[in-house]
Amino acid sequence: MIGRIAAALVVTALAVLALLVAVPAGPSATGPDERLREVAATLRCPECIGESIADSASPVSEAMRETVAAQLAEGRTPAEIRAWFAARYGDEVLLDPPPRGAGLVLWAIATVLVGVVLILLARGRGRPLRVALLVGGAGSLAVAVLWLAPSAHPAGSSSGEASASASHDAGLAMLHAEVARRPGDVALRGALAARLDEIGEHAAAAEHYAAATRLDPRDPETAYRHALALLRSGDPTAAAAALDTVLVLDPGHDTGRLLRVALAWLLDEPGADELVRDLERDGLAGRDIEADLAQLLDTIRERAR
Amino acid sequence: MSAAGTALLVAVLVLSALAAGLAAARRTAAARALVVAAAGAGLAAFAILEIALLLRVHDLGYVDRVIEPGMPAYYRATAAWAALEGSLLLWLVALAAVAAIFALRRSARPPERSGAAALGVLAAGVALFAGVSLLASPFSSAAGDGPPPSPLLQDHPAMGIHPPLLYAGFVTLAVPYALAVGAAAGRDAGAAWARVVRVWLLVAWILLTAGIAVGAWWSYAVLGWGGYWAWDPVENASLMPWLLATAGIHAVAPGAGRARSPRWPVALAGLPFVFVLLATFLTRSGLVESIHAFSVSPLGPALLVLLLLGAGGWISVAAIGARVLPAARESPLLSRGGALSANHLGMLLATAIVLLGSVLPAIALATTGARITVGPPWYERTLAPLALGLLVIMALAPWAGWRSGGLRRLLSRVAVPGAAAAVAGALAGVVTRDAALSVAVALAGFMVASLAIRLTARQRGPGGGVGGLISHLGVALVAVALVAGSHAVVAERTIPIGGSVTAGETTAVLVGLSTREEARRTIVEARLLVAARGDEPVEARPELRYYPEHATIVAGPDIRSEPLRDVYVTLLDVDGAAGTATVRIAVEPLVSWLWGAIGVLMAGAVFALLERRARRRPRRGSAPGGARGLRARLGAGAAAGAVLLVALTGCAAPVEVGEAAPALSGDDLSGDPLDLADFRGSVVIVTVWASWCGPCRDEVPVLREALDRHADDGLAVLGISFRDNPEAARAFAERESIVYPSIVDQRGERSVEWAVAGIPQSFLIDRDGVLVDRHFGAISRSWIDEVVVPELTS
Repeated sequence: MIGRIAAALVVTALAVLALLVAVPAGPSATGPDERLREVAATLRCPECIGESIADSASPVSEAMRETVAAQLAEGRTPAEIRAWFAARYGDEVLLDPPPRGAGLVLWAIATVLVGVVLILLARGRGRPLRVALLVGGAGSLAVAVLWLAPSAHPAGSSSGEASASASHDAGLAMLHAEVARRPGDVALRGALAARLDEIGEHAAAAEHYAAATRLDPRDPETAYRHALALLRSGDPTAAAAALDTVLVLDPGHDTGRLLRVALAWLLDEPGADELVRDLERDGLAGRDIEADLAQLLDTIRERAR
Repeated sequence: MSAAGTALLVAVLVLSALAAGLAAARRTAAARALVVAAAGAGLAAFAILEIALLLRVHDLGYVDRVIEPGMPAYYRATAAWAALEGSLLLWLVALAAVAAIFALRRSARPPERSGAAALGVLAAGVALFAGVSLLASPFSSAAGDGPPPSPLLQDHPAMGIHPPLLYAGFVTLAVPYALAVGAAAGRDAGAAWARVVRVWLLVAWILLTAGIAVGAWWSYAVLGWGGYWAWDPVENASLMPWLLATAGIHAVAPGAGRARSPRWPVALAGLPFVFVLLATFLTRSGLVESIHAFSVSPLGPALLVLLLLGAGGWISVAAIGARVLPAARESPLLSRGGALSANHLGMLLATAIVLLGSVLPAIALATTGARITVGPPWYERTLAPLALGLLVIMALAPWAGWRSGGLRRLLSRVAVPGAAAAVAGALAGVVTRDAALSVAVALAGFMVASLAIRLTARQRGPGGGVGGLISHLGVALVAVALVAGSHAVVAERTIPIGGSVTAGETTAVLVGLSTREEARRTIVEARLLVAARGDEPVEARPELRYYPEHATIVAGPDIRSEPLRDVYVTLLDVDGAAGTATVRIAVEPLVSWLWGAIGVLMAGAVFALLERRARRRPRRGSAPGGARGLRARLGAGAAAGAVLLVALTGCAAPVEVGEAAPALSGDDLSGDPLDLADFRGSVVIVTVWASWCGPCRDEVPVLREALDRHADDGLAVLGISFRDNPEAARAFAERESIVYPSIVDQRGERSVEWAVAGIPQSFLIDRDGVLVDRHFGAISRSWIDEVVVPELTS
């Protein structure tokens, strides 16, 4: 009785499995990253040994990945992209050899090997099994032929922008949470401020840079970024004060000095001309100070609006 | 020291050659003593090398070559096998030690007559390898001249374990080979012989499995590409003996003799070592291109002779076996006997496919000049269906009778494990929506149920030993991990501090970059926060380790192992000036399961080794055998393949010499438009360069000089500035006084259009716009004189 029930279960399981095999489980490669990887994994990195361009970090692989991504975005199919690369780099760029030339020999030998094994397995085991095995062999041959036929996967065309921005939001949220958890970590503060600065939240960025400067008051770079963030948030006075801190920490900070002079002009501070003369005397790597300053001022005015 | 080492190697050669002679003359006791003495001499030679390395004795050129100042003692000790000469010595010592153990352990030796023959074969093998080791000895003065070993070999502790384990596995397979010769010589391959062979095969298989697994783990932890198996020819070379040893273990399984002719076990005991010799030849001869071929040597011919000797010996053994050993009637396919045949043929087929993929590209290149690449997609497509078939047979076979077949009977017996498989597979299918994964999980469920029934000693349980069932469960779990692992999600982005990169649900945020100096290397470390959506972030600190003396960068990925997935974070590049880093993040399911599953696999083999079970004598029948037919058909297949190979050489035409060069236009470094077509009428050298490429600096004066001399003859040079920050490219051009214009190719797509394979690379285009030559590497004066000048004057 138990045996019957179990047998029934086996039959059910086989049916479920067959169903699962028959019905494709959703789209196989959804996002642009996945589709890029799928194609890149079949192309060989020409300057490495046995690596695909999906896994290789070499500059040529990076360039090839970009080409694949561009062609996918144009709506080309993976097969078309592979053909494009084979036409330029030769068949050796394909990790799955195409059925021509030596690649055909490879497939032919593999198919013959399968046939030999099936015949050997069928030998001396009675007629029904022999028939079954030969049918199975014919089936595998049909599969082999299908393998050899060029596959044509339609390429989707969803945009990669959404996922990129979503990932940045996730990253920002993580940074916020970590800074809240470990408020004394300078690097975390700096990373959060850099991210805020990049997405245009300059005031918030300036606050976190200020915190980072308090935590590590001896780092001129953080102080300088603090000044830039203040400037971008539209507060040149505070930026000038922050730059003074930078110049105390590192009197030779070239860009800091240049910016400080520009701010002095902008804010009509007394002694601005003297600062320019100092700059010109020091030479600042042979720059044309006046032109630099004029450009800088334009930028600052535009930013401060 | 060098003289002592050489003398000891000569002693190994002489002692083992004498031992082989004595064994041939049936003076076994004396032969045994000499084999042990040879092993002692070999061990002493190896000890001398290790002492020299650890104490930094500069008598030996080899020592100066493989160790560097500041190298820790551990890596000095492992440096013994970091270059060719030392690794051959390790091979020899391991082989001599195994021969000595065989000589000393009575229980591990078959009866007198075939035992003596086997001992003779082992001693001869030791003598031959001693000869090879003398050809490339770490004690010779020439050993100091080779290239120093790659820093990859001194970056991870696995390098101290992986080669010795692999070598131990390889040389242990020599014993089953010797025993197969003994069986043919003694005309006896009965149960006692099978028992001895099984022990040696199991030991070799356990060592080999461990060696391959540690190698895969090393590849995963060091190479930084996030994978553990690349179907690289050298990896394949170790896989082939493993597949054949697996078949061999099944051929000598207790009770297998009841269902089969002893011809199979004799053939399968010898074959793995033939493939070990093939592996040694392939990896040391430079025949195949591989990242693992750390040392290429002129030993190719000597190793080829060894391979031919070994293969010739095996063919004679198989032929003699087919003549003197009794045949047996084939069992029905749905019996354990039939399943064994399927196992053997399946493993042989898998080995043949791996061999084909590993060597056909080299053969095609040598015979027809055709270049093809056989990579992971091909192996996956060909081997996956075969693996599925073998897995199903593996699950069902223990439940079948040795000789009795019948589908209905088999199905009624496997009802309970079948139900377990159904439930497991359906659950996995519902959760993951992945057919392949649910099939693998169903098989694992089947194996768990089989093992449970076997352990609870129910009556109609599966046959075979518990160890075998444990190993089968390990195989099913490996399959689950491999299928799941193919669903890795990878993302790579260049991000500033504060920026993030997301793969699937997992996001990594770059917090900071730092640099520190160590004795032999500079390390750049990135600090990242990594978390799946909503989880508490953890920190990852991947590194780039730069070895200035080797001008080599080694990746130091940060791997966060979790029960169900690994998060693999690699630092690919750091731009200090811009404060950005290129970060790759891969989320790989069930990687830790793979290592665990391999543990289960090996535990099963250890259990099988220790298992004491009653064994009955094999019953023999008689029926015509099929070995000759197999040979004939394989021969016909090989001949047909060779004919095809010669006949078919057509390939897709690449960017080819003799055809019109691709179009090339864009902006130059100062933003003005530039087009190759405008140079029509001149002979043009197109050269691809970048400011970050060292050799690119060397070709600038060569090109300047060529232009000075030949500009009036109509020579022009056009650069492609490949994947560079325009600012950096301009600065480089100014600093190096580049006198020719360059087209900016910031993303590299123009260079890819030209099929650029590496930087620097150059093309020569004639006055009609036809590509005349392609030059890899920095341009030399000889290339200008021999290729460019004739083009100008023609």
